[in-house]
Order: sequence, then structure tokens, then C-alpha cells
Amino acid sequence: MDLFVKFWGTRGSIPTPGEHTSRYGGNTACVEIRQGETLIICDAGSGIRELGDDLASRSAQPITGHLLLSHCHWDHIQGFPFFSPAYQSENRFLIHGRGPGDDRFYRFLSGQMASDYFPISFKALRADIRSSDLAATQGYLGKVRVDHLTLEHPGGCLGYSFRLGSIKVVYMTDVELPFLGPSGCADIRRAPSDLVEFVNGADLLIADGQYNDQEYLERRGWGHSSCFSTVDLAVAAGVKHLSLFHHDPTRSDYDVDDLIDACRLRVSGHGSSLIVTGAREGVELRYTDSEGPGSAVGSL
Amino acid sequence: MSLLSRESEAWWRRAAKSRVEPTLVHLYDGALIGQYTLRGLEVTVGREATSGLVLLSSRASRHHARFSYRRGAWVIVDADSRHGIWLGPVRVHSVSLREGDFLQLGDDILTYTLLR
Ligand SMILES: [Zn+2]
Ligand SMILES: [Zn+2]
Repeated sequence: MDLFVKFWGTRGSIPTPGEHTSRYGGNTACVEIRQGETLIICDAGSGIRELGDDLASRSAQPITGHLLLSHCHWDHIQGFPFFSPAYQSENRFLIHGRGPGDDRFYRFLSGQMASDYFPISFKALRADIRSSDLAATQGYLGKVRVDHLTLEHPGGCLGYSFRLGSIKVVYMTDVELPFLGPSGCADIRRAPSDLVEFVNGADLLIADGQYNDQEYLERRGWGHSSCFSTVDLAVAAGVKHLSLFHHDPTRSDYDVDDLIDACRLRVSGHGSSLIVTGAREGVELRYTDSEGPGSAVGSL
Repeated sequence: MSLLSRESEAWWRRAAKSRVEPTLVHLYDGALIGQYTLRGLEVTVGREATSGLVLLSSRASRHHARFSYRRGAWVIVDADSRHGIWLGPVRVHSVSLREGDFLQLGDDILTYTLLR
């Protein structure tokens, strides 16, 4: 059994088109998780537009998808009105809330298409789009076990973990990890224990690493983390591959490269084998739930 | 009055008209093997002699991967190869290529560049 993870948008806060951002990408948050016929879409930032076009080109069959939103800040929902499969009557999308009766995400997605904001109303979307929640399927979407955790972020945010057999992938964008440690910056930082448990042993952790230490200290309370705190969380939790996500809009591709290099130095300073990369639009990873050849990307 | 000399203007027009050639530079065992221009919609890559681009290392699979042109970009997709496609420290199933990308397939190296 294979689990595929594909990045369609990795930028934080606002789309950043241009040649300086073309490698990591300028689209805001959208990650596709696919297992067999099960399609899960994490966030509906501007990257969801291209995902929609790609889905339409893959097959003539109707599309059924599960939309899991981290939260409703605009960079995580702004692409939905441009998601072309939502305009086709044969398709079906479930927008999952946190629990029974929680239709907040559905309301925010539809609300942004009110006439003052957008020319086409949500009602004009011909696909069958409904509010649902993970409890309705006992926490499973197809064969994928999905759990969530509330994260520290203005207005709240959800992190999701996806498990298929021995494979574990975590999507944890927009989270503010505090500096917890004896001397703040330099030492390995203690992360909140619920977070360590949530990401523990993940093959892939897609996580907020928007700032460096100095930027974080200047922007405390803005809801994002220093990438070094994210690295320390991943090291503490025995994560195999950390993919830093929600790149700051001011960063060029080379700036992201520099940040990743600095993170790798920190990892080797901790004596860890954690792999750190910058999440990059257009990259697709495949995890196979079996030992042997062609097996997990995460078995690096 | 033109800001460019007649020759400069002619050169500039030619340069602007010339097509960008998506190109793979193939390296193996420290040596430059060749340069391959991606054309059409699909190019196969593997150890099989009939592949569009033939790999040399024994760790490359016969049918290793394929390059496809999708909506304005070249994408490489793994064809269930044994040792995969590596982009830096990570094995990827597919990736939409960008200038300067450095791919490892078995022990063959392919760098992607846009030549004019
Ligand atoms: Zn955000
Ligand atoms: Zn946010």
C-alpha cells in the first residue's frame, strides 16, 4: 500500500509569484495526500487551483475528495473559488470539521464567496459539497487513520497526522513553538509534550518554519515558529524527514536554501540523522507500507 | 531614435526569438556523458537501450523513469525503479523540474538546465 504526498503550495501568508521564488514556489498552502482512491487535501491556499486542474487531467472519473483545513486564515482558503472540480456536478467534496456539528470550516469556505468578495456564489458550485467530520468515519478516510491536534496560533489551528500501517505523515502548519530551554536560543529546546507525542516517529513532518530566531523574537505572538525550534521538536520526536513549510513571503529561493543549511548544521550539532528540506511546490513523495525494494522515501 | 545600434538590435531580436531548450546534462562516474534536449511530450529514461535517454549505472533500472511535459513544465516520474529518483537527500516519486535541478538515478546524474 502506497501513500503519496504532493506539495501544491508551500508559501506562507500571501502568494509570491516571480522568478526568485520559482523553485520552492509562490502558491500558498495546499498539500495532497493520496492513498488508492482516497484523496485528502490539506488546506485550500492558492496551490489548490493547480491541483484542481491536475485532478481533472488524471481521469474522466468523478472526483471524491476530503478537504481538511488547518484553519481559516486567508492563505489557507483563498484558492477554493478557483478549484475547478468544485464546479463539476459529478464531483463530491467533504469539508471536515473537528467534531459532530462543527461546520465552521464549511461556513468560512462558502462565506468568502459572498458577493462582496467574489463574483460567483458558493451556490453556483455544482459539485456535491458538504460539511462532515472525522468522527463520522471513526477517524478513518479510506484506509488512512487521521488524527488532529489543536496548535498554538492566533484563532487556533489544527495539525493532522495520517497513518497507513507503519507510515506516519504529519501536516502541522501555522504553529508558534515557544523557546523553552535553559538558555533560550542555543540549547536544544523542549517542545510541549503533546506536540512531541503527536509527531513522534513520523516518516515525514511538514511543519511551520517561517522564521529564524531573530525574526521570531521580533514577531512573538504572530503564530509562527523559528525553524530552529521546529528542528528541535523533530529531533526530540525522532522524526525522519522534516519538510519546512509556510515559507516567509520575503524569502527568495536562495534565502530558503540558506535557512535549510542552517537547520542542517543545527541537526548535526545535535548528533541527529534528521533530514531537513524546504517544502517545494511540484515535489511528490511516495511511502510504501512494506519492507523491501522501492520502499519508503522516509527510509533514508 | 533607437537606443541600440543596428547590430545590437538585430542580435537582441534573434535572442528574444530563439527558443529555450530544456536540456539534461548527463554525468556518470565523474565524466560528462552528453547533453539531451527534452522534446515532444514524453521521454523515457532507463538502462534499456531503447530508452530516450540511456542510463549507464548498474543501479539504474531498465525502465527507470519518464519525463513528461505537463501544463508548461517538464516533470520526471519514477517508473517503479529499484533505487529511485533522488533530489538532494530525498527520494522523490515525481518532481516538476526547475533550472539547476540535480537528479540522481542509480549512479547517473542528470542536471536540468534551460539553454537558449
Ligand atoms: Zn498561514
Ligand atoms: Zn494562520
